[in-house]
Amino acid sequence: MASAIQVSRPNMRRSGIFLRSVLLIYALVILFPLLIVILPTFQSVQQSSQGILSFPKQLNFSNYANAWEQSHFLTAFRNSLIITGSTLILNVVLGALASFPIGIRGHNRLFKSSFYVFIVGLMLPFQAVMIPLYHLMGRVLKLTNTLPGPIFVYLAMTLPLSIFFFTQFIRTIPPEIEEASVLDGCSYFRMLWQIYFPLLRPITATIVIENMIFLWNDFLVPLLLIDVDRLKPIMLTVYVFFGNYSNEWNLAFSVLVLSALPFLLLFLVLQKQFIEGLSAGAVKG
Amino acid sequence: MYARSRSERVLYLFVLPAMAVYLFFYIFPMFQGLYYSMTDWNGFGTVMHFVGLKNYWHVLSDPHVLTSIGNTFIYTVVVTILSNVIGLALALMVEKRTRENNIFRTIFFTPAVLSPVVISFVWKYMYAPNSGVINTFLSAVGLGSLGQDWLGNPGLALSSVMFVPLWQWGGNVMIVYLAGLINIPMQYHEAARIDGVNYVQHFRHVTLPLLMPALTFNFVISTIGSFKTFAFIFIMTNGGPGWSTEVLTLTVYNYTIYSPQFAYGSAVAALLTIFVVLFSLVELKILTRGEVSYS
Repeated sequence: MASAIQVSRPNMRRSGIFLRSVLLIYALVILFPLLIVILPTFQSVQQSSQGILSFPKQLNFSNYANAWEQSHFLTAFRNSLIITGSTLILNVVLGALASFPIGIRGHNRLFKSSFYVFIVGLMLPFQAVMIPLYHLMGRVLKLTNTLPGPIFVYLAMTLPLSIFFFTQFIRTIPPEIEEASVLDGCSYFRMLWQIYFPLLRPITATIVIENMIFLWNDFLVPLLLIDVDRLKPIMLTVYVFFGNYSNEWNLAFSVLVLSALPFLLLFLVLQKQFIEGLSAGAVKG
Repeated sequence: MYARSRSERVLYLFVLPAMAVYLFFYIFPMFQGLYYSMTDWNGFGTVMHFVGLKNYWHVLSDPHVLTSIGNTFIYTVVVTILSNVIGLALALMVEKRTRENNIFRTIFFTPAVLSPVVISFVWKYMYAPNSGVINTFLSAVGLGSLGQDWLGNPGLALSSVMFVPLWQWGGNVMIVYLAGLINIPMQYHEAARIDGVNYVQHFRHVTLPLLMPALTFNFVISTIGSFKTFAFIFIMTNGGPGWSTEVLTLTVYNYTIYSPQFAYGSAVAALLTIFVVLFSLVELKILTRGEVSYS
């Protein structure tokens, strides 16, 4: 990819140095806060009282061991995996299913209006439904303090985006594909899963990444629906842990680092897919 | 023909499961909330009378709610505009596909995959008045007099809070602009170069108009996201000191959990919804009018 704008050579070298310094400074602004919180996790309690910028004398993993135990980290991790995983699977299946007719029969009045009904959900703030939902889940459906509770709510919250992306993508698929499969006597159900769904792979990646970032990192829905420790997902656990251990930065930050690490590693391993997937969604949208 | 139309009917069933979950867990509660907002229900009793728009007049004459509305607008406008300025500048700076730029892109984007919960605690630690990172650092280099109570000073708290979403989302906005830049056909850049335009003219007349779809996307997404902001403020300041960082999402939360007055809370939630929908639609209308096509 050639640079869009060419500048004469001596100028280019000078502006190159300037550009690089700006980028380096900005990179420091981003990285510094992320790295500085690692310091207290290796400090002993006595050392941390001497100030946050004192480097730990030796690598001390006891904070992590304590934090792991006291936050019931594995339980929280498991809950997050269940909630995020189930929501993602249901979201892709129900989303693709609903988008298929909306995408291939865009002129149908009923499908057209369902599309707009779904799109409204993109703008709706969670606070608009929070109070009635709190009542509905708690007193009518008895779904507070269960894992299916947040899964249903998340599913309703994430479907609009998936249906928006899937529908836009299906509309770009030539109608000849449908005509050919109708001639072959293929049912709509098979047509969706065997012919269309493989074509939807790139946009499915976008949808999964976009929703995964939101689902794994959210704490508002569980904050409202879950208050027993053994069902709390990871970010709610971090939030509660910080409240209980606000005087022990060492422990609190160890949990913070532990909670961020799995997703950060996943991002670093799959960064190309992440960044390409997210830009594909933006451009198609 | 008969067989065809019968199998067509299956298509309606395809939409049904998603529609049912979505209507039941999202749209139905929203209408229920609208109804609550016109009653005197406190959330617990069974007594509920229809009171019309009374709750709306009540919350709109409450100076705290007005402060909250004001803060929400300041937050949304500042974060939307500045995150786009930062994101666009970053995108232009790392546009060339070199290995070095790829590393910068990854670094800039990294905060976007982290939870607002994590980010909020990190920045609370950065901002803390006595043992915080920023103040400790300032005094270590002899600039201790510049130290501030970043989140505790009512005049400063909102600015300190608004810096955090910019820090987290700048890279995310950048990614969308980068995708937009790649989509600009090379021949426009070449034509402009042959015409001998300078950097500013080139940006103003070639790059920016062709980036309008990406800009529209970023503006609308940032606007919606900023109106909905919750975790940053809830964790870093909880609306304080006083009401200086209170925003509407927090007001609704407090009316739900702390002093349950579901009717007032529902009225504030309805106002928030109206703001989000109105602003994003108007913005979409204005920005898509500015989109051009040179083909």
